[in-house]
Amino acid sequence: MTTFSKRPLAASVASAMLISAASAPLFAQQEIDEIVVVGSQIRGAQISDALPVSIMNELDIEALGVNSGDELLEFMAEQGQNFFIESENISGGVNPARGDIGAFNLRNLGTGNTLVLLNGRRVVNSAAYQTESVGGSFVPVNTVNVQSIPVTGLRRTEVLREGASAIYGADAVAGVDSRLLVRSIPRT
Amino acid sequence: MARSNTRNDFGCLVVDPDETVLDCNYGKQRTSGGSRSFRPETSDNYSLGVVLEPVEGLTITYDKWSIEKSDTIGLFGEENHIALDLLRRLSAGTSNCSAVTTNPAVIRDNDIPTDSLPLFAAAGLCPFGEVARVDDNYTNLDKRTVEGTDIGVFYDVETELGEFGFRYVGTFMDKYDQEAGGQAAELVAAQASGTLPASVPVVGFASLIGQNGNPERKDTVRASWSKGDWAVRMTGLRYGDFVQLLSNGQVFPIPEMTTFNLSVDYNFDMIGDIDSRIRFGMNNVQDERAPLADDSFGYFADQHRDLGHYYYVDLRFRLL
Repeated sequence: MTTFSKRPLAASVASAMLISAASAPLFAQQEIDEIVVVGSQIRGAQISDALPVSIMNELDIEALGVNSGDELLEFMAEQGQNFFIESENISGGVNPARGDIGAFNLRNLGTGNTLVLLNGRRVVNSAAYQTESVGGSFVPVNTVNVQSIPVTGLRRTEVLREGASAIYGADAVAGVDSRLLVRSIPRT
Repeated sequence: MARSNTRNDFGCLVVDPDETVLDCNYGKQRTSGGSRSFRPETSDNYSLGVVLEPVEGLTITYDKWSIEKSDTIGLFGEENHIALDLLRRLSAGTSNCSAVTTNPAVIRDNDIPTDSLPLFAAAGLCPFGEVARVDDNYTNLDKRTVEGTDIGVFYDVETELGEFGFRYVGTFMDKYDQEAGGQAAELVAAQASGTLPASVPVVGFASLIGQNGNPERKDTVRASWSKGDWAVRMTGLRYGDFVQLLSNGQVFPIPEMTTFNLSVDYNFDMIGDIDSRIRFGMNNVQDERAPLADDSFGYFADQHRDLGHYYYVDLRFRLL
């Protein structure tokens, strides 16, 4: 029977690619002081599980009849205002008319409080306009651009409806929007 | 970072409300930058929920949640700084004008018109010049508390008449409070006690629920039927009502907005065995327009969308 002893994490990741389940233990026993988990995937979550998640699968997304990430985001009950730019009449224009950028804002807690994952990885932030009035002045914030993830080809979107900053960090205070792409096109 | 903005000088407005001698709305430089006294923002949250699966295919979820975020980093704001400066000057009085405690973030020049001196004396303030600069650095400010309830109903059933699916997800916000922190709390307290004149605006605190694009509820629904090569799908979206607080103090009600999308699919094999689908769809079936609001395009663009009724035909086929 194969047993794996406690080893430094980096070594085990590297070796996991080399050894098969049938191979004998190769490393001497070593204690691990601490493992820091910086993120965990919620992929495969079910609405009936312990984590409060909202899920839209491919069929649900298709049923909406929408083409833009902005519109898809609107169909999530947890999404608050789609703040991007306040100067509607000068340089910005309204989101549906402009169509280039939209901001994640779960629970209306403010742009920059929602973590966005694509296939389990963080998505690059875009600079959003100064839309958040915290205190007495507008503060520049970051958000993932919802339009940068195409609607066509989405396999699933999951919204973790609770603050997850203990796992992910300060950008997940309002929750996590996790999007998964179709991994392979079925070929016959 | 420095920029110049035109702002009200509330100190000046107390001295000369009608701006007979002084000009109280003028350009001021604002500088903003980091701070050595930052603390990390903190958040506490909890959620508590139940999932019921009373019969095969039916799932009901009910979740209560709460998020509290404190020490939110932001800018106190030039006008708030100026209001605080006024508060300090009012409490200093005129007993010792050579050593008045002011708000050190507000830097004023010493250019005081002589004809304005009686006005300063009448207002009970030591004379001061125009604001040259406001050092508005980032700082830990407000505490936001948001609480709500999520309800989900999911039902899928297969019958002789085809497959039926139903999904409802709704969010109900119970609380959205923004509480003043740090120096903002001082301003809120001073205004409540009457120390600060009521004409100085101190807004954006207390409960913000049901105001300015912060509705108490949002509902989404999806229903589908499919049998053989045919499928019909309906989706709905409803934003709850809220009020818009206008700059003149009026409260403008903005009603709820509901839209439905509908589509009919027919699946078939094209040219032999190419898996194909044709769809006829209608978005915003009832041609609902965004409710009227006092905003650039006449509606609340952060929340509502004003896309009217439209039809589309979509043909899809898989070549591989």
